[in-house]
Amino acid sequence: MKRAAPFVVVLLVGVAGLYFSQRRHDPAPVSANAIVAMAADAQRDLSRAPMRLTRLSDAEEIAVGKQLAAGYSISAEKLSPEQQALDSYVKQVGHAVSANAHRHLPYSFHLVPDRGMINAFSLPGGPVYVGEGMLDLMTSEDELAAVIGHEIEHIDHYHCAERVQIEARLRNLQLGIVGAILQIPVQVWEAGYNKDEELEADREGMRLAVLGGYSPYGAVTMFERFSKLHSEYVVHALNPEEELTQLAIQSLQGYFRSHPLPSERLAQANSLIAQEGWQDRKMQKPFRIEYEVQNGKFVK
Amino acid sequence: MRQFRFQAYVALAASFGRIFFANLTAGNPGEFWGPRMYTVLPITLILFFVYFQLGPGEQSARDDRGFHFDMLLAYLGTGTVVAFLYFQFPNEWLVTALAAVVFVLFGLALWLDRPLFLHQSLLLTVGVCARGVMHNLFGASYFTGGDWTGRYFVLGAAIALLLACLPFAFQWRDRYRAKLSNNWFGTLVRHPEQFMFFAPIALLTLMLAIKMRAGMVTVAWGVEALSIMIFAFVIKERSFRLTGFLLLIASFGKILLLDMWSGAWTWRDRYITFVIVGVAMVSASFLYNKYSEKIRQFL
Repeated sequence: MKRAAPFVVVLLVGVAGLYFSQRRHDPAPVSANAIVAMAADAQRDLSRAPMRLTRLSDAEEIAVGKQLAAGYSISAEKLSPEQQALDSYVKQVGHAVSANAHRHLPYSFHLVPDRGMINAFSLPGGPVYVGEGMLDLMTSEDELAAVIGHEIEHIDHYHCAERVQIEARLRNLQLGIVGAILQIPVQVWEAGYNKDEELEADREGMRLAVLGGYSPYGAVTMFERFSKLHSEYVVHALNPEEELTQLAIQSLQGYFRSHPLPSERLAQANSLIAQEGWQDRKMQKPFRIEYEVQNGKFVK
Repeated sequence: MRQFRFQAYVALAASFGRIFFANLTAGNPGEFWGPRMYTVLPITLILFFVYFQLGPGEQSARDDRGFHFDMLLAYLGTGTVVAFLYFQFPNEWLVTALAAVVFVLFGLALWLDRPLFLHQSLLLTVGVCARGVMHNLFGASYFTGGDWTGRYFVLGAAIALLLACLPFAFQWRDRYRAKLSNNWFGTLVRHPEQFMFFAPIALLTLMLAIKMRAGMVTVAWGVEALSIMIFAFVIKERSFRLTGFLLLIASFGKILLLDMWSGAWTWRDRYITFVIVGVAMVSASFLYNKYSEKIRQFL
């Protein structure tokens, strides 16, 4: 009897767990995301104190950013008139959003003329780059403001500066030596930051976009689109063999791109809107570019 | 039957491993009652249920205890709870949730008279302090969390929960006072009150230094020192009293060496600091004079 009662309780809880699991029809994907997320958080936590105590000054950060931007920059002449118009649109929205950033840095905004690049990234000290493929996904200016706000916050909250510090230490680079920093490949910036930093950039980026006069629902519609793309991309495993295959694929993805799930980002965006009372700011400006071409050249 | 038991242990260890791949990230974000809860909770219960079947009174389980399966199951059970909390709560609140687990483990250790839970709670206290320092103090956002809740409440609640373990720790010390130990861990387990006092106090002191406005850090340390001294006089604990005294001296030293010469301070900060630290020192002196005879007995 002494053992029977706890056994019955454990058995009932187990059966209840099985019942609820079976009743739920959306199967949870098997992945190493939990371990990857924990490892990424631990790495971030371990590095944050030394990063904070050996912080780059704003002037150093701007100098590093300029060197990197010079290495990655694309000449305006190589852009088509439409791409030049898009570049100008990105700059216009970027300046409106960056006006309320905490740190007063020389923020600059650029288009990456590659329709296959569904991404945006930022460099220390101020440069922000948005891929043309990412712009193709957008239907409103507010969505662009949300993406740019997110990237600005990676700079504003020292995520980029800390990545420079980490990369310089890992690659044994001297930040003071001109050109040394260019050994850091662009992929380092294109890859996501850890979950905490991504969610922080989402949250603070939304605030910046709202302060810049944009709707917070730009972030919501963008994350909904990402979420849809993600669910189309992820294949749900139906047996242990598929689980193992999927696990291997997702572990690699998770390792190189530790962005939180779009559903998680969407949940945070909706919760921030409720918390800040932004529910009445639903109206979004359409994504619209107008430009003039004379003799095949972009005029304005 | 022994082979079946061993197979069951392997299955339990495998189920623990699998939650990291299938259960901890299951469900929708922000969902409290979801697949994570109703799949991980039964595993936790099963692990602890089996652990309790391997109690010291069970003759049939003597072999299994020889392989330390009991210890393994208890650690897997607590590990499951910790992993569950990691994904269930927002990142900044994890430290408070873990401090609550420390409190529960301390209570269980005392109630069930199982040193294993005390070991786990001491280990988890180290984890709480490490997480608090790395994530909540140094890892916190540079610009957000400036409100009262973000600055003090989350970590403050964790510190309060750790300090709430002190009554359990004193009871444990009284229960095992007569036992001798010949290593540092044995001494730590016989005197958990020392660790459960110094760990949260160190965290509190660091939190005040990092989160408070520069002008108010010395005041906060002065108030903390006086509170510790009063508490130490009440419970008659010499090491606690000396800690309060040293912190008060450190506050006074900081005023003389740093605060008086700092150009960044406002006059209001200076007046408040000098007055409050002065009052704290006079109060400490009063306490020492009043209880000088009792202090002499304890020395």
